[in-house]
Amino acid sequence: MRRYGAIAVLALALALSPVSAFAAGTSAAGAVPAETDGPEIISMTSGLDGATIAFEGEVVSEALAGGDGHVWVNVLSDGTAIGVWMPVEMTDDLEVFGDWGNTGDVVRVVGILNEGCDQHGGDLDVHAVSLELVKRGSERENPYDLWKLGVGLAGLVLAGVGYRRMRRSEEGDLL
Amino acid sequence: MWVAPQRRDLGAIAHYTGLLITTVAGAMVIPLATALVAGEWGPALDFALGAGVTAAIGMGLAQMAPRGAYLGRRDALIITALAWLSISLVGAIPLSLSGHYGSFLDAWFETMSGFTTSGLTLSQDLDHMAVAHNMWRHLTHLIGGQGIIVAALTVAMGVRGGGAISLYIAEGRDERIMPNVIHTARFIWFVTAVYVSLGTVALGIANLAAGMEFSRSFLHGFWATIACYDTGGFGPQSMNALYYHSPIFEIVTVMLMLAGTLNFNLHADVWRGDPREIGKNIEARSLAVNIALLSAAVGFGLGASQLYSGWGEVLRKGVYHVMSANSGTGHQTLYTTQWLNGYSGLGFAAILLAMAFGGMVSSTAGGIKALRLGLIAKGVLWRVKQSIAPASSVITQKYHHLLDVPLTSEVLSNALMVFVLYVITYITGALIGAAYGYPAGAALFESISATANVGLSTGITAPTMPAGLKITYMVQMWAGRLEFITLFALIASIVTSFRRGRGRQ
Amino acid sequence: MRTQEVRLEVRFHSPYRRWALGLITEIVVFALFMAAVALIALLAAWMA
Repeated sequence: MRRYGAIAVLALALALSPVSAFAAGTSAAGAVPAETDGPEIISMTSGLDGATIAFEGEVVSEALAGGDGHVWVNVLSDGTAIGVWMPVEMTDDLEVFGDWGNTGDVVRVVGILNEGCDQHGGDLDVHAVSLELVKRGSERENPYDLWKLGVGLAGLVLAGVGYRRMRRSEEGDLL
Repeated sequence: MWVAPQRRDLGAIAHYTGLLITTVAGAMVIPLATALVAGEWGPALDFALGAGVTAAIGMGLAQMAPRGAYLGRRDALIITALAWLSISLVGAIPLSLSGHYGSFLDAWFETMSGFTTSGLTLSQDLDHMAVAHNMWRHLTHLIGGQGIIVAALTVAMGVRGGGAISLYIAEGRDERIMPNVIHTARFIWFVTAVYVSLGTVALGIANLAAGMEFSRSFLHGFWATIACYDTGGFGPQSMNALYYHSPIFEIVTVMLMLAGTLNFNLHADVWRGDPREIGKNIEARSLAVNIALLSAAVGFGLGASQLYSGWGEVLRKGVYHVMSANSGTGHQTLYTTQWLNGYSGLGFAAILLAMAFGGMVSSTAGGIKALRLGLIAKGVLWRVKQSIAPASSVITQKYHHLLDVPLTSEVLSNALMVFVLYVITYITGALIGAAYGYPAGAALFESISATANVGLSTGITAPTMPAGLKITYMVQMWAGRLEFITLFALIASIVTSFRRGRGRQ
Repeated sequence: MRTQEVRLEVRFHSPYRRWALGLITEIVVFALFMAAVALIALLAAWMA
């Protein structure tokens, strides 16, 4: 626990320092996370395999068991969801997971990118080193239009009329 | 000679197409109820509108002829060809209102992909999609997969005369499992119900154990089950099968894929207590050999690769995708970008072939299909035997498909013709994709995936792709599902009726 | 002239009678098949 906390603090400190100056080219060192996003992570051409990366995104759906005291949390970053493997304790701060009714918590993940994770059957994943809540999730507004109900009912009435007409024409055939 | 359809035929075609569309309106009640239970009022209204409008269109078309109108064989072919077009069109109405599709065309692409059990998707922000809309997406696999025609029959529409059997034949399921169509339909639904229940429970429990909420566990279980058993490939999450990060999920779904790609005649034989047929059947043998060879190729390719050479990776990234491709399912545990970067060249080629070859006939699988490959292989053997035998001798070649049948030139030429049509379509689609500026390998992959109703994607299929390419893939999915001849019959009928109209003036 | 042997099979036994046994048979066949294919793939990977 404490170890993760220390790494998180360290990562945060490094992230807050003028990252842009040395974000590129330091991936080999592993200590300074390379700032990235979902599409770049899955591009397979980022050159970040095995490097420590940092990205922001919305946690969606739920945390699924990942074995060994870990869970899988899916982080949606720029339209691409990335599976992040992390110790259960790291999810303590998470409250809202994104779904139809909610926008999930936005988090900043620092972790190691594996383009083909040996531990997890070759899945592309990120093994989290730290997780930081950036913005608490909220309820999504899902407005609904009652006119749709009107159109639907009108259609149903028309269909009913059509059905009756068809039945009558059939009876007519029998005569 | 071409025989042009008469006005009376057109009435009957419209009538039965209308009834089919009305059935789809009825099916929309399921997502509607789902929305109401889940408290999703917006999506509920989408489906209320969808069901109402669809019912009105269906009943409107049904007015064109009296109930139980006579249906000829040719008319049945045309209805079948139109079925996927018409029901995907009305099925797209609720999805297009969901806000998850860029345009009506995108929603139509989605339902065409769903009803043809392909699985290519143009949905956006899938992780925030309502349960009801996801329910409808996955139901399209079930409705389309178990055969729209069979589904319609089960709803017991009073089709009189020989029309019903023609509809069944037109759908490419030309073997009669049971003495009549209604019995056959009932058996297909029985097998489906058993597998879907079993799969839903198994995957539901697995999801529950992984920490999913109760109702969500079984919903996901149900969706994954019908997506695999109907060899569809949709998933409720943007990460598709990778979302679950679970070997158990992958094993269970692969079993369901195999069950879904098994010829219904084989299911019937095994369930009658005659499992030997699976070992003897030419189609089962050729599919088994096919999967084994391609798995070896993938294993060889990945074994030499940098990224996926571990044994777990060979199985979960290699064999899993061979099964998914060969059965025509299209679930993937890779990001679309990974096919071209990281997956080995040999592995990529093997997946291409697995998609192109496809599963068994009389199942929901797509592609050229194992029976035809088996027949062609036997045909080659036959020709070789003939060429080295004395000129006066008569050489016969037999194959075992449910019965011992002598191979005839006609059977062989049919198999070869469909083979050639598939290959031409694969290549044509690839050329169109390449013409739009996509890399040739990716374009070929996507084209085969669409035509063989698989659904694996290298990422070309995206909301941002050109509309022309969307339409191309839709036509490919449609043509592949109908195995071409039915579609050609439709086109020929349209052309001949125009000619007739012009001749009169 | 050759006479051809015609084998008639009556195939209308009910498939419902032993469906559970059939289902289990299918699952076992699928499992064995998957295991065999997995072995083949691993062997190929090992050779590569």
